[in-house]
Amino acid sequence: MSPIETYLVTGVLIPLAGFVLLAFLGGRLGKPAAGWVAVLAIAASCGLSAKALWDWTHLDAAGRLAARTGPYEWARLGDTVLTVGVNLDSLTIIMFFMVTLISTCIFVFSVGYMAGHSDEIDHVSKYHRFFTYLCLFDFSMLLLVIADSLLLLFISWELVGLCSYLLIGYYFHKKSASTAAMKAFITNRVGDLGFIIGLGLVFVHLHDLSLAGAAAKFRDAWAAGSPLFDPAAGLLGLSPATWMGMLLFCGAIGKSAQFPLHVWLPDAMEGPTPVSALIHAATMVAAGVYLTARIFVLLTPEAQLFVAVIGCITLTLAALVAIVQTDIKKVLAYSTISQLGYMMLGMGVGAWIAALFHLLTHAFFKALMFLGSGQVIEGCHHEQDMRKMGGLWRKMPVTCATFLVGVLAIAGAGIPAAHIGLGGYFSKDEILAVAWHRAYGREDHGAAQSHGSVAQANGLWRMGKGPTAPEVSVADIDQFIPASWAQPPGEHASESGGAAHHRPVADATPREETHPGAAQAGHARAPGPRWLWIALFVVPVIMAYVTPFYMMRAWWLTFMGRPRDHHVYDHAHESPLMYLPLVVLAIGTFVSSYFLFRPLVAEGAVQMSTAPFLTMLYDGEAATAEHAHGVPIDHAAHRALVPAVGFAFVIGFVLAIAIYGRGLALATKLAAALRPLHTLLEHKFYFDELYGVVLVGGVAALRAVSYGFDKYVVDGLVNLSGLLTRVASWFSGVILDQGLVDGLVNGVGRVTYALGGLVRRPQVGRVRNYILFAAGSVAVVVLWAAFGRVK
Amino acid sequence: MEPGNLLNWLIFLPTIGAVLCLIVPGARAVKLIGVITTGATFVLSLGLFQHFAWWDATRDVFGSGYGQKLYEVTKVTWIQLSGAPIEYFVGVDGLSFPLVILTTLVTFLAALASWNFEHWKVSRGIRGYFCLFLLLETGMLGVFCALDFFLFYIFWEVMLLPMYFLIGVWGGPRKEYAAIKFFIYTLAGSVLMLVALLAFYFYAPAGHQTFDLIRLATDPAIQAAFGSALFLGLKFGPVMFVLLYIGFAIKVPVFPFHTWLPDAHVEAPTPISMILAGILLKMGAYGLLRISYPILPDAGTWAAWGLALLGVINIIYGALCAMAQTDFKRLVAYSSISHMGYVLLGLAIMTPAGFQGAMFQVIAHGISSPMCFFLVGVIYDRAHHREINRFGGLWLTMPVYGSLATLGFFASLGLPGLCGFIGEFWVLIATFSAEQWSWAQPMAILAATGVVLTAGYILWMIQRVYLGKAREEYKSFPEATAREIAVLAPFAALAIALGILPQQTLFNFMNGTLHQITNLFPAAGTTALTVAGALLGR
Repeated sequence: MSPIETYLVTGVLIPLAGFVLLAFLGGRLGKPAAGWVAVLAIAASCGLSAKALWDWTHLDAAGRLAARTGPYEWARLGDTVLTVGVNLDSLTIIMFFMVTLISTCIFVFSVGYMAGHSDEIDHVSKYHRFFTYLCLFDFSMLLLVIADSLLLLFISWELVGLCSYLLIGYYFHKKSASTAAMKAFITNRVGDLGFIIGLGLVFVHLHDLSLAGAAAKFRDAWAAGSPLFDPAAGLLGLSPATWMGMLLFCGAIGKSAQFPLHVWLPDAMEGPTPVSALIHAATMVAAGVYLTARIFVLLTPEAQLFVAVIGCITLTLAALVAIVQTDIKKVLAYSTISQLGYMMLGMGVGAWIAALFHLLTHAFFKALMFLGSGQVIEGCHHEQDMRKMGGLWRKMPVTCATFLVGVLAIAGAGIPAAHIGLGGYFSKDEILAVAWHRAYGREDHGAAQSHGSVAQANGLWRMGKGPTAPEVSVADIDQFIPASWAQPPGEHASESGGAAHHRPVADATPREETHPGAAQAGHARAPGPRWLWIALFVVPVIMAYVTPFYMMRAWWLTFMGRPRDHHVYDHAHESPLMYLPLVVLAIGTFVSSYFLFRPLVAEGAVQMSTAPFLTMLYDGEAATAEHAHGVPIDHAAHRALVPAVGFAFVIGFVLAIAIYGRGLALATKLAAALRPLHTLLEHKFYFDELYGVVLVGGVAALRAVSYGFDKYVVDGLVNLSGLLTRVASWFSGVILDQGLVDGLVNGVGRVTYALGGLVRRPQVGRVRNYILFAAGSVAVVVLWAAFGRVK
Repeated sequence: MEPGNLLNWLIFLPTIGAVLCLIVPGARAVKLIGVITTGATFVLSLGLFQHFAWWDATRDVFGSGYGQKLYEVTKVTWIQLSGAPIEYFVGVDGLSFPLVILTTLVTFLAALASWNFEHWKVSRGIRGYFCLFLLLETGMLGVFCALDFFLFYIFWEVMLLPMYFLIGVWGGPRKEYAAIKFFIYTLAGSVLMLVALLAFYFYAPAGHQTFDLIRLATDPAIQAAFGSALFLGLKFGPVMFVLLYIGFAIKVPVFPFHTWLPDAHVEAPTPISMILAGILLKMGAYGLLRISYPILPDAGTWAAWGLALLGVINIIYGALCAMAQTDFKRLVAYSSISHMGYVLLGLAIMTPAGFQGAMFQVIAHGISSPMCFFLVGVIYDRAHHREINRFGGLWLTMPVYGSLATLGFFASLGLPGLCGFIGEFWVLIATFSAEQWSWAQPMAILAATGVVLTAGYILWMIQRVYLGKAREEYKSFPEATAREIAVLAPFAALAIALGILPQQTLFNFMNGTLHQITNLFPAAGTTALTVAGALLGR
């Protein structure tokens, strides 16, 4: 393994070592030593990942190519070799860094958080278990990040699910917690069911479970006109390839809490707040998006549309429900679901880079807000109801300020002309820009594609429109990009081949030259009616107004206004161990918005260059845009967006403050006026109730039927046959044998006996009788001898 | 064939121990004999590893064809018949090797689990228990090592009787019912097997008559004769396959022959449950792989979809039934039925990948299910009941035990990284990719729903038994003892090892032989016949 791979693999294994150590010795280490062991482990991982990141950014294309070794054989399924290896590319590196960095912050926070928590239940300390699970989680999550095959992804996928289960159920003495844990795991398993079937289809059609290999074979199959892409060969008018992509995406639906499997995430807030921050906001739930990014090359246009629609539905439902939540963690949970929906939408419309960029920025600001809420909850003695808070800014200034950073970031606040903004301003707006492009810019899109090579298309685009002033962050980052990143397009072609790491298909020739028909057909066949694409743009834009509203509502209710519950207010406090990580994350939010993160993601997009169905849309002038074969969208999209969402955050904020500025009175009136709608939202569109009746009830009925069948029919038949055998044996034994056969035997005996009795009668022991008999007999014989001879 | 005496020692060492059990004075000495004998057998069985050194690239472990490389072979004439002798023919190959190791290990751990015999609420003494226990081990090892059909049959019956008494004498309240049910079921199956055994002998052409399982599978003359013969006017192959199948299916057990299993498990003492689930169930799968498929490959093709369907029914139906249970042990028993469905499904599709998955599932289940049964036994020893709904919070009361239980049940659930996953995954993917069967993909999708159901019943059980508030009546429960941990730890370690390194820990030991068995099959698709047509001899 190359040094960078070694850093990463060691970085994965250190948390595992921490897990093993804590699992065996955690109880003895006690509080808070066990917590610090975990912090140490993840900090070491973080250090290694920083080193890897540093080295990676200082490597040229050839060096990066050489840094990737493997894959290694893990097992054989039939005759197919299943491999594992490190999926070493820019995306992995930056994801790895993000996960370890945020984890470190959260682990430190956890030590502070747990310090104030009674961790004894029935006099049994569970303190070390918490950090044991956290270590296991980090191991699994990092394994997921570096996984280079669908199989390894699936394995780590399930392991993070396990950790999520264990951590949601950390307070398992509460029934609600253990139920939420179970719900999370089983809901995820439903998604995994689809994922397994998808894996099966990949294996059948592509005979390879490694990401690179499957992508290569997928492209070859497309080039060869395989029936895989024939709608007639699949079900319901969708080609097998589409089904494959949609089923693989099912796993992401579960893990990223997308509609219709989103129901577990709000309940998952039963876990300790740091867990909610780490797993259920920043990292694990984003794994679904990460997975979608990794399998993006296997998604047909129809499957991409499916992804986009699911994302759009999710972000809408969740944003609406978030408006009426009163539990601070539930607001954040629903906002997480909604933001994940944005990412999925981005994936679906082809904004690969933007979606992942949003993932990264979101990870920072959502972890920030969750930890902030943890600080609030902890400071307020486990009060989670925002209606009882208010005015906390005096007591928790740092928390209040950092939380506001998160609110601004998620709201996409920024000043369009000045190119200043935070988080969502760049990432979410970029997703919307691409959605706009897909809705309204399709003709341009097709035109761009009709030119043979992307480099050409790029050139045309540049000549046509001219290098407009960059509106997004990337221009600012240019100075941070090493020289090797910014090469002329011509050289990029070869570099993209090189940087595609051992992927046999990623030869130096651009994709279009190898199979031009494929590329054009892939793009020209944008499925679905046009109104749908327009909806995929308009609805998220509307929701971009709702997001700032509910986030400002939460912030205002918590920190601003007058204290509504003096008991809560009087006890409120914050502690350094908990707010320092908040500061780090706030800085991280800022840095991730501007520097390093987006360019690395854009570099990671190189791997997409092998996809037949490429709808990679770029915005701005990322130095690496030419690497891949995506179509750079023109800045008209962004310009069009400024009136649409540029000031959404202002409107949302103003509305929220207008309603909640003076407490809850106005809001209560509004809720009363809109009673049916409010009730619908309060009950989260009745999904839990629906699933409870249909799915849980359905399974309960099935199990009753099955077991009844087993008990009464199958076993009944067994017992019946036993009974029949006994009846038969009784018949043959008692009736036939004892009655008839034995009766015959006994009858013979009885006859004999009777005869004997008859015969016995004369034999009474008198000698004279015997003599009489003897004499009579002799007489008969003599007479017979005398007269019988005569004849 | 490499001659050797190791297997003879393995098979009959427990018999010697059984005799000793009858002689030595004192209960403690009997227990010691039992544990030492099974332990020695286990250690001895490790000697087989020398033959399967896959890490030694210079070694040809599996040979060129089925039955070409057998190790520790003893082949002597036992009973001289007019046509061919009945032989004492034992040997081990990649198919039986993992099962032999599993048998000796599980039996040893079950003997350890029997150590608290005096606390059982039973009326009969320990002497008979350990004597029969050791005889049982002889029978089981014999079944896995025998390569002569007649000898196989004898060992099959040898194993049956001790089991009957172990359940019927040392069992729970309904032990007589359970024991008789078990006995009659298995006996019915073995009678059908006997018919097949005799038919194999008499339907072979003159001069080729044999009970040798390897020759039955590889002798072209015998195979040709079996291919064309008629049995009572029906095709020989399918009839024999069905007869054998019923015999083996009862052991697996396959729906609808499964209802003896929950009863037997519920009534059997914990160590016997461990053996029953860990090894006895595997004999059905082993029998199919050793006898049915190599000797009657055409019939296997004919029966494929039926077997696969039954496998899927087992998976789903077993899981649903498990969900309905309130008796902890009955739940684990039904989960066994569900898990063994994957074995049947993997076998049914008759591809190398399917066989690999099935065999892995056999071994994985042989590790996870004894562990689960012992986990149930641990709390049964303390609580003297098994009502799931009456438990709660045990993870708080007994943290170490709770953690091991979580691991064991997650292994059973098929969590990646643990042994249960590999078997299920291999079977599912193999079924998916069995393109010669048009029904394979729908079956695979149906079978995959088992993944969700399994998670459902196991997590629900965990919630009710281990999570929640610690109940007053269980707060005094002592943590798992050193002996209990010693029984659980090897299972736990193996569950992890097999889950992470399936190739090195298992596949490399058996894939060669499994491939050889699939090589005996005719080219796929050419022999697929309709049910009616095949049965009518057309």
